Amino acid sequence: MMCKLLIVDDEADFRFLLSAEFADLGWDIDEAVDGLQALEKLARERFDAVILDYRMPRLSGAEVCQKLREAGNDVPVVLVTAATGVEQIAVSAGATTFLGKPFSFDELCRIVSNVARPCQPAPS
Amino acid sequence: MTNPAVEAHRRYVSVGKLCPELLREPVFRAWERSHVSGASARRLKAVVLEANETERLLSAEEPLIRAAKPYMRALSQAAGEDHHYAAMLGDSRAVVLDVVGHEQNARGPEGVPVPGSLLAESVSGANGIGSPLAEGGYVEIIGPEHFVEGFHLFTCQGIPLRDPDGAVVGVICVSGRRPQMVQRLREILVCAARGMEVELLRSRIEEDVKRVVATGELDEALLEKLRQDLVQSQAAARLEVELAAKSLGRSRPVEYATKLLSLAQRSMDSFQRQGALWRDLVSRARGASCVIDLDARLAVLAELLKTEAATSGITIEIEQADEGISVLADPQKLSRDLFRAFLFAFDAAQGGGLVRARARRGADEQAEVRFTAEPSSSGPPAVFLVKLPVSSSAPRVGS
Repeated sequence: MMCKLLIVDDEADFRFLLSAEFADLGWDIDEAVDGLQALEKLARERFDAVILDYRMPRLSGAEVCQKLREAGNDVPVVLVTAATGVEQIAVSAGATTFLGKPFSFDELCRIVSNVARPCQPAPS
Repeated sequence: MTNPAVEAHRRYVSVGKLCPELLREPVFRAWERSHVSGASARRLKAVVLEANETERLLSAEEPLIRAAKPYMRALSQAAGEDHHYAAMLGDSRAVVLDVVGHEQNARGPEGVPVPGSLLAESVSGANGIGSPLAEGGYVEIIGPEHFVEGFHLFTCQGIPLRDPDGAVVGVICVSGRRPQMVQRLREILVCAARGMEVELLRSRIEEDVKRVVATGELDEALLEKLRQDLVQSQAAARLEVELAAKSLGRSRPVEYATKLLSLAQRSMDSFQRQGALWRDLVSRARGASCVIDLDARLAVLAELLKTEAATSGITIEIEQADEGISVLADPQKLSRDLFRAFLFAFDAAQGGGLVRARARRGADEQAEVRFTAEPSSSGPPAVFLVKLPVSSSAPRVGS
């Protein structure tokens, strides 16, 4: 079974970039345009990792994390953010880890691979 | 058939004759400059500064080196499996500051010049670091088009870097041991250079923000949110350039890389528009009055505030004036006045409401911007006005 990744960001271009690159690496990709849609998808399906933007309309990334953990979902979450000093917020919200913007794709890829549930991306 | 540049070099070295008919025009100009300034065409290696001078220079240029690094890594990957490529960064005097690339090319005995190498045309002749600085724009030097013999193995493509005020602060170059220029590298080099300039602008903005926060003139929490929005544009641009370079390195369809570069340009355009506005907002200096297109200024402010509006559940609408309205104003003061009016309107909209901004011509050569805040809950809308003198005849010079 392919590794499944959920990319949550209100910026379509960002989702496009990450989806294309992770798909190229063998991941099965799904996207959510905001926190509410992310929670719906995470309640319905099992994902092996989530890339979650911190600052989004309606529900922030930290709030999404909190609601996930309250619902008992332990999916690994990488919170990505342009904010400084957010480590404490990320940890207390239940994110597995966070990555500050700007970041390189190689950094993000390494972090996601490290925290994802054990799975095997399909050969690219 | 002999490469014309090889023949040009042979003639120059043997009889001191410059042959414009054998060289491309920009290369001939570079050779002329090199000749006039006394560079030696027989040189086999670059001149390098003393170690302690190099160290001092690298320390002084650390902000530029840091801004350039992510893009240099991307550039060196764009050549893919061709391990003979390296990206080089030079300062504004053409001294090499950094080299990123395959070990063999970056640091091998026949590698590109190392940090501390003097590549000004007066020392090293026409080359991919000194010549872009001398020309003030993109230059490619292919193999034997290099003035000095020691660089004939390389093909170099370079472009100057400018700071937010337009001054040249350095130069970036991609060099490979190939006999021809690579067009796709040119496109990504130009984009990467712009990305580095965006990084420099971001650093400048961060310093400005720290200064304004320290004075308490603007709300710190809001400034932080706006800073994050700027970083978002910059982060997108950097990622787009990195991924475009990777895709070229993996020989994926050029259309994909082209799309990514186009996205990167858009992200950088957005960053620079907002960045310019940011600097107006946080600057304490009074600028000279100039003619400003009100609708365009409102549109950029709305763009700057769009994420803040979205997270507050507020919708912003800019109603275009029937005819363009230009005002004569200090751009910094105007930006601050309009920005404050937007913030008052946001407060009045109380989350989830609508903020409309409309520029219109009033009486007596005045223009005004009317901000209407309609809360989502029942309640009367709030109105704020910003009045300005209309420019009657001066040509439009900025938005």
